[in-house]
Amino acid sequence: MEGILKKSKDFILEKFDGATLFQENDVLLDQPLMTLEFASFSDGKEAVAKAANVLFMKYLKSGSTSSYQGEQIFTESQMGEALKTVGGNGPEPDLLLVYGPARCHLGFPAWRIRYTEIQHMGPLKSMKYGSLIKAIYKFTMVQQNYGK
Amino acid sequence: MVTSVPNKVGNYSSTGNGVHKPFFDDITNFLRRFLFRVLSVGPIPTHLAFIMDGNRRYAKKQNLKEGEGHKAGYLALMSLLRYCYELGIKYVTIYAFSIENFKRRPDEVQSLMDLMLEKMEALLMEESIVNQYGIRVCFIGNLRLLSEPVRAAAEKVMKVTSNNSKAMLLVCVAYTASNEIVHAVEGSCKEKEKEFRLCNLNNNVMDDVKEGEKVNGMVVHDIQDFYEDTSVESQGLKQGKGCNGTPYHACESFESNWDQVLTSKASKSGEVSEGFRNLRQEVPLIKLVDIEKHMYMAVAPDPDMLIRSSGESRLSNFLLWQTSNCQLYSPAALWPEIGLSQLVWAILKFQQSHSYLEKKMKQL
Repeated sequence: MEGILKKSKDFILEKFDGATLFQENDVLLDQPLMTLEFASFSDGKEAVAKAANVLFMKYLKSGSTSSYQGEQIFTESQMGEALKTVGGNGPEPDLLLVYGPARCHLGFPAWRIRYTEIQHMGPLKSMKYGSLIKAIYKFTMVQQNYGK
Repeated sequence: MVTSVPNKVGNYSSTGNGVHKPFFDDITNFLRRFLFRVLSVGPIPTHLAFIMDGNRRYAKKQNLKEGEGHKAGYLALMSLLRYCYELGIKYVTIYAFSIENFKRRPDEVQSLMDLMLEKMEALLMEESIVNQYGIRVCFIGNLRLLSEPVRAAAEKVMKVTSNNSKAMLLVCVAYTASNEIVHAVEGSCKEKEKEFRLCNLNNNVMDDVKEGEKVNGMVVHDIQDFYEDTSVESQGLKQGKGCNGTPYHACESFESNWDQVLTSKASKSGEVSEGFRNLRQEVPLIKLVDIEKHMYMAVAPDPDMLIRSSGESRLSNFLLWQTSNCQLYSPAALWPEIGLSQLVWAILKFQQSHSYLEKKMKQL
């Protein structure tokens, strides 16, 4: 089930002179143009199910599977790679702005928001430049330990 | 016996000094129960999750020794759990220890493990909270990463409380959401592979019963031979495994071996090859429900609200899969400072957004 933004992405890109569509192997740093990527609900759990089938095929083809009993079969990086092949694993956002009535990530692809700052901005119609600057400022004041 | 002394209105914490003010206790308990009854007029969450952040900052702020922050955090947790179960919240999940926390200094990790062991043993006592409220405790995470005494204590607590059914406490230790997702995918793979093997075994048996040329037992024997051959070959491949990258290359070259084995077997017995030619077409697919079934958190419904203390607004690899329709709330108070007022405020926020999130959940 693709979201409405994804379906209208050509129309949206037309409106922005200085933006390009995100490509799979794009390097994010020092981009001259803004890169837009459109994600929808199907890029979340459903993409994980697809990636699981990719890993399953590899698991079957690897031959004797009885020797894997109780052991770890896949690593997290293998999972990440599999997600990438099914198109469900782009770069991890540093900041996630939620526009809507509730502070909830609504199924944003789980693999990508592990350490993302999630900020609730209120309803879409009250979007203001000032609140965006404030959100970015709050983000710069944050200090992460990443578990340490 | 533990005595309770109220320090803020409506809050109580345990101290060992034996002071007991029954009248004041009764008044605050009564007020709190009345407050809960008023709150219960609106929807109450079924499942609350907590990220207990800020113990170390609290210790620094109060000029305490480092480990004391965690002990103060434990007391805050016990009070909060009592309020939750009093309010009728059936499931409470807490983020006790992340896999990422193993990166901390070894002495800090050890003191946290010691604290957990001590508190797990306390849970097994007669007068502990689990018996008072009929709580079933589940430890969620990759428990094999824990040291033997901690893991054994966790298993014991789970076993002893397995028959309690009034409420549930899910303690996430050695947990990250990414580890949970990979583990669930692994579980689904193992399950589907078993299904696949049995399905093909049955198919071949059925084929031969139809043709009447081979006895059932003989066909099964041939299949077992086949799997033994492939296991010998894959053993060799496994020994050649280096870092993470190599297994895939090994698999690609093995694909051609698989074909060779198939064709060699085919020349041996025509009936068996019929079944194996159909192998690839009948591979069962992993569906979303299979993955959901194998999640560590499958023992409880998805949380309705996730509360992270200390005002931080990230999930830090906690319950990423389960929070699609979960409201996130970040009170500024550090974890040991969390009390009744933050809980009440959280419930009110939940009630505010409840109908919107319910609607969202039904849409998907």
